Amino acid sequence: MECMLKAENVSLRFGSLEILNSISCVVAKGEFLSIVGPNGCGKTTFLHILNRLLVPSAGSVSGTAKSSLVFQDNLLFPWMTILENVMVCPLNEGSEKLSAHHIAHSLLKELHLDDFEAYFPFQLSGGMKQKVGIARALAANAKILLMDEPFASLDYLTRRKMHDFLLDIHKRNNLTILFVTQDIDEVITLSDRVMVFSERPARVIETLNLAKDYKQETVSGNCLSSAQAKKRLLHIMEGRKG
Amino acid sequence: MKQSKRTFRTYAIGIATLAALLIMWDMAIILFKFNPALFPSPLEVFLSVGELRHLFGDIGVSMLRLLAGSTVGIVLGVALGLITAKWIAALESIGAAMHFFRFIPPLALIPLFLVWMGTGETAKIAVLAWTTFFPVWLSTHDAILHISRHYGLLTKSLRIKTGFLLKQVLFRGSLASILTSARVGIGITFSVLVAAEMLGAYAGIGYRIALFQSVYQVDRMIAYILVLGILGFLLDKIVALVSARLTRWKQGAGD
Repeated sequence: MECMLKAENVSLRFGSLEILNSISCVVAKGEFLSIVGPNGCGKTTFLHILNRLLVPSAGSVSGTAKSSLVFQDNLLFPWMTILENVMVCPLNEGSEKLSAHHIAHSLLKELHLDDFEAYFPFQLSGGMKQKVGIARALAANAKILLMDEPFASLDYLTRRKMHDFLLDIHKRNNLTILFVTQDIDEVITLSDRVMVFSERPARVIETLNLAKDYKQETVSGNCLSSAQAKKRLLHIMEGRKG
Repeated sequence: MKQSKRTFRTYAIGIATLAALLIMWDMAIILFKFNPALFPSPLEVFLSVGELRHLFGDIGVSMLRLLAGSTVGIVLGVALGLITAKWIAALESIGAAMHFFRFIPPLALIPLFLVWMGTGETAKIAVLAWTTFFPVWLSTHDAILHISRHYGLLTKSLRIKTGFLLKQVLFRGSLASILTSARVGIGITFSVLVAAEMLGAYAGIGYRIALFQSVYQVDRMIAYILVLGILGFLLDKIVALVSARLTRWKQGAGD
């Protein structure tokens, strides 16, 4: 198992406010790890630490693979066309314009968005914007996607389509994905593994290995196991309240 | 088809309003028996245009001054707006002074600048630059603060480098606000230009109006004033067109 990202006893404190309390995790190459927990518990903050946007008060983060954050809002620069948005990272890294154009165009074509290259973000639906955000992460040559509730504002059907799309991209590019969400169904549909965070200060109260326990059975047609997974997650999450 | 019909109607109403105003002007002179030397008819004003030998030269000189002054004002406004918004320390130290200067009317500065810099072009361009500078500075400052707040996390996450950040994110993102403020600034600068030319110039629209006033050639004064109206209207249209072309993403965008 190749380790892509490792967090060891990561804690964060702003003055007297403790946000994260000794969180550790090892993320394997190609793994889809979800993080669930109550509102405001520090899931997003943890992603920011993994993306090196914040420095933890204690503990460490290691891993050499490039990671990219995918946000829910303010995902794209509204004054750039879709093509320009995807070209941002190659150009920023010093690529020639022609080469950046080629990279962005190929990715958009792969994601069936090449017809929208000259469009501006306001002309795209929420799901399409998320796809462009993922295309930009791929253009940056990111091997790890840190996704912060990316589909929370999408309607049910679009969200389901985006799940299929994400799983397909995940598999084809052998991406490692850390996915923060509030939606337990989403966790079960997408993840190999799920970490459940407690109320703030967040600590990991349980890690479930869905691939081994449930997901494979779900693939083989046993729907009950996904129901069991859901029941167990609900039980854990409700347990922390009680 | 519908769009062109609407455009035609807009222009037709505009022309009809203008024609109605001219007729009212003419009627008022006949009805109230105004002194024709002080209140020339529209026809007399129109005929006087043919005698304006310096008209195109004056327009050229005035427009060059406006262009030079506005350009200096816009460039300085954008540069300083970026500095005051991006580096808060700079804002705190020079911000208060800037707001003090913002409230000094440019017209009050014309005599002072003429004393300091003479009646050459420098004084006039300096006053015009001063006038354009403040609205552009304020808008750039606000726009960059807004972009930094909304897209700061995204740019940090993408590890955007300073050069790319300045040009592609901060400048392009604030361009719509810069252009709107430049449009407002150029409008005010246009008024200040005429005043500056009246007080210290040997050519230009303002100078010529003041000259005609001194010899009571009211018809020529009015002709020049109408030319000012036409120039202002055209200038605003050009800036609005350029602005719309450069900020297509704003059409329908929320922010």
